[in-house]
Amino acid sequence: MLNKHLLPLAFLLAGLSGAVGAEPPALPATPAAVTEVLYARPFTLDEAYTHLWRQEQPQVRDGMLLVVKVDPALVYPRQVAEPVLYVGNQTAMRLNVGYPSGIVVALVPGMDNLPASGGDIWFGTPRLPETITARTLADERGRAAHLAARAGHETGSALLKGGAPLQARNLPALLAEAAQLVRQHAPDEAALADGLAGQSSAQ
Amino acid sequence: MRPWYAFALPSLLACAWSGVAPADGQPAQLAGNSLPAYPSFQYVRAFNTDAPVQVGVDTTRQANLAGKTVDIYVAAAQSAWTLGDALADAGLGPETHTFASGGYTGNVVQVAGAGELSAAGGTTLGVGYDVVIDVNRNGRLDAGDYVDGGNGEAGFYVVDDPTLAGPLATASLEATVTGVTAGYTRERIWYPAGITGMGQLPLVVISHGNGHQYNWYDYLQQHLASYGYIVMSHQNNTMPGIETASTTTLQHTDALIAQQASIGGGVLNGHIDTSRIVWIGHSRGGEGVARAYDRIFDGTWVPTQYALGDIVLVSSIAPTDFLGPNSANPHGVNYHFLYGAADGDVSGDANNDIAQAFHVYERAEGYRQSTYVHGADHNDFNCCGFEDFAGPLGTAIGRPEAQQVAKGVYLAVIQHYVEGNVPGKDFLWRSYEEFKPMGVSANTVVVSEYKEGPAGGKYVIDDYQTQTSKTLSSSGGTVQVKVADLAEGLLNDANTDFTWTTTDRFNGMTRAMSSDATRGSVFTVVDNDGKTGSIIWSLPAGAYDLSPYQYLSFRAAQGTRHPSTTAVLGPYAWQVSLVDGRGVKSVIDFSAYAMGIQEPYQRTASGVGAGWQNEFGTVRIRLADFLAGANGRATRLNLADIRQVRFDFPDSQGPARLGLDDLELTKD
Repeated sequence: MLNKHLLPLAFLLAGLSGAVGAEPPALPATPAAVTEVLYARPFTLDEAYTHLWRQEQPQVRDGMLLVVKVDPALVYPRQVAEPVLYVGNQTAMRLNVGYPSGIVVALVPGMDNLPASGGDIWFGTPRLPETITARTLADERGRAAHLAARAGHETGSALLKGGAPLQARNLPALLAEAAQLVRQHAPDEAALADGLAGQSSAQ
Repeated sequence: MRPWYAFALPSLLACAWSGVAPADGQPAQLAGNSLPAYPSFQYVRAFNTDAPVQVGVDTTRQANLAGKTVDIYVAAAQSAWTLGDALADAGLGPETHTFASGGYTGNVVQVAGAGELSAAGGTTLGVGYDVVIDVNRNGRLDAGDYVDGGNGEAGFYVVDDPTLAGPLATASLEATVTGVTAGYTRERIWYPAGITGMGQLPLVVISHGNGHQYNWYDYLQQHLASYGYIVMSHQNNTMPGIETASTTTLQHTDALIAQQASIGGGVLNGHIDTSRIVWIGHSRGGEGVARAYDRIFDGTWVPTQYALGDIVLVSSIAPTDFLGPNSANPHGVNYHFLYGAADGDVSGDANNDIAQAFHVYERAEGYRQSTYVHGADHNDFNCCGFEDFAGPLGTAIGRPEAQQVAKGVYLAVIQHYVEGNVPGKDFLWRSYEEFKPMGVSANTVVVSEYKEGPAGGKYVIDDYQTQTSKTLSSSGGTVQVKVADLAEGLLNDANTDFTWTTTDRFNGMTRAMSSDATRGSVFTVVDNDGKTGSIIWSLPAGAYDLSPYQYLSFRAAQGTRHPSTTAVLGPYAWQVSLVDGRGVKSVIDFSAYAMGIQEPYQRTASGVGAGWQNEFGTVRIRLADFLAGANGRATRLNLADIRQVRFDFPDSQGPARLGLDDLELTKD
C-alpha cells in the first residue's frame, strides 16, 4: 500500500457495488400514536423516586404501569436520539427496549396522565428524555394534537387487565413487578427483565 | 498525564563505555527492520514472534565500527549493565559480522529468526531483550562495546499475539450492588480465578450503550481478566440520556469498590487497585464515560472511593456526542477511541453532529489514540446487538474479526497506560500494515491515530489552533505554500452530506461541531502540472535545535469524494524533509515505512459518490532516520540547527486532496 497509483481497484469496485441492507429501520415520522394500550395499572409507593426522564426530575409517589403496543421501528435501539414516549402531561419511563416485539412496558408518573379517552399516548420528536422540560412537553403536545383520539373503551379495557392498584414499597419493588410484565409481553427481553429486577441472567 | 514508565530511550551510559552514542546526539538504537528505501532501516521497540529481528548499524554515524568484525548478542534484558558482565545470547548464539563502511548497506544483520526468541511474558505483553555488540569479541561487556537496552528499557521486545487469551484461568460472578440507580444494579465481573493468591489488580469498568446489556462484553472481560485485570461490566442507564448513563458509571465504580467485601462472597476483597481504574464505554456509554470524567473534573460529582487521578485511561467505543464540548470531554486523561467505519448507528454522517463520534476524541487533551476499523459496524464490539452494517458489499469483517481488533488494542493500550508497558505503545502508533496483532487478519484495514500528551515535552510546529494566517505557523515561523485551495479552519463538514463541492472545503471532516475548537488545514495536490507541490515550515529562532526530540509527528487524511481522491484510490504518501542552517537537506518518503494516508472507506449514501468521513492517520518519523547514511551526501544534516520542515508532493505520487494537522516534535 505504498503508492496510490498501485492500488486503484479494490475499493473502487467495492464502492460501486453499494451498501448492504443491514442498516437500522428508518425512523418513522413523529408524532406517532402508540398502536394499542394493552395494560394499565395504577401504582402507589411508600417511598418516592426521582423521575430521571425529565430535566426537572420530579419526585414520584404514584402513577401508572403501562404496557403498550407500538410500531417496532419507533423503538429500535438507537444510540442517536430516539422518539420520546409521552403520556398526557408527562414523559414515560420506558423499562424495556421493545424491539422487535413492538411491546413497551413503561412507568408514567402521576395518576392523572392516562385519560379515559383521548389520543395522548404518543412518540414525539427524537431527543434525550433527560433534556425535556415542561416547555418541551407543551410543544410536543401541541404537535401531537392532530393525532386521532384513543377510544375510551381501550383504556378502560387496559385498566381492567391491570386490575387492582399496586401498592409497593419503593421503585425497586415496582420494577420487580414491571419485570414480570416484560417477561410476559416481551419474552425476548427476559434477560433485560432479570436485570430490571436486580436478578442474575443466564445470558 | 504521562504513561507510568519513565521515558528513557537508551542513552547507553556513555560514561561507562566509549563509542556507544554517535556524535549527533541521537540514541544509537540497534534493533529494527530493514526498509526497501531510504532511510533503509527502522528502529522499533516491538517485534511479533512471527517476525525476525534485525540489527542495523549505520557506519556513517558509527564510523568506528566500519571494518570491524564483532559478535552481536541478543541478551536477556538487564535493568542495568555493568562493565565486565558476561554476555549470553538468548537465541541460537551470537552473530559474527564484519561491518562495511558507508551506511546500512551490508550492515543489517538478522540476529534472531521468527519464533527464536521467547515472547512468553506471562501476564505482561512482551519479553524484553538487549542487543550488545561485543566489539573485542571477548564475551564480556567492555568499554567500547555497544548496548541497546538497560537504563530502564529493553533494547527491544518480542510480543506474542495480544488477541490470544492470557495465561491466567478466569472466573466470573454476577452481583447486585446497592447505592446505584434503581433498575440498574447488576454487574458482571470477570477476574483471575486465582485472585486470592494475588495482590491488587487494576480495575476495568465497562459501560454499555443504549439498548445493550451489561452481559454482552464477556469476550473482552474474560480476555483482560486472563491478563490479570478485574473487569466489571454494569447495567447502564442510557435511555434517559448521557447524564444518567454517566451517573451509573460513577455509581458502579464506587459501589464495586465499597462493597467488595460482600460481592461474590468477598472474593475480590482487598484485590482492587483503586489507583488504577480504566473506564470503557460503548456508544451512549462511550460518551457517558467521557461525561463521567468531566463531572469529576468539574467538581460536580465527588466519588467516595476513588479520585480523578485514579482514572488512568478512558476509552470510548463509537461514542455519541449529545452534550458537546463542555460536557462530553475527556480533558487530559489518557484517552483511547475505537470505532467501526461501517457503523449504521453512530454513523459519522455529516448530517448529524450527535453521530459524529470523533468529536469526543478530538477533545482529549492528553495522550490519545484512535483505532478506526474498516468493515466493522456498531454492534460488532459486543456479542448481541442488532447488526447495523452500513458499508459496501463485501467489506464486512464480521463480529469475530472486529473483536480480535478490540482484544488486541485493548490489551496493548491498557497495559501501556496502566502498567507502563513499553511494547504496547507500538501497537498504538505504528502502521497496521507494518505491525499489528498477529491474530488480526492481514486483510483487515485499521487506521490509527496517536498523539503525545503535552506532559511529554513536545514542541508544536503547527496545529492551526492559534494562528489563522496561512503564511504563519502556530509556532510563529513562516509557512510557504505551493499547493492549491489551501484553507485553515474548523474540522467540521460545513453541510449535511459528503458530496464534494467547492463551497465545502472541509468536506468529510467530522471532527468538530460548531462549538468545538479543533482546527486543521485542507489543500489539494494537483497532478501533472509539471510542478512539485510543497509546504515549507520555517522554524522560528530558538526552535532550531531538534536534538532533544525523537520524532517528527503529524496527522493527515484524504478528502472524501474529492476528484483528486477518487481519481486514484489508494493510500497516499509524500516526501518529508528537514533542512539545516547550511542548507543540507535530508528527504524521507514515508511510504518506505509501509505508511500511507488511507483513502476513506468507500461507503455510500450521504450524498453523491462513495467515500465516508475523512480518516486521519498519524505519521511519526524518527528524527535520527534523517541522519541515516548522511542521505547520500558528503555533509550530514545537523539536527541541532534545523531551519525548515518541508513536505513535497511530487507529480509521481498522483493527485490528492489532503487534510493536515498537528505537526509536532515529540520526545517519545
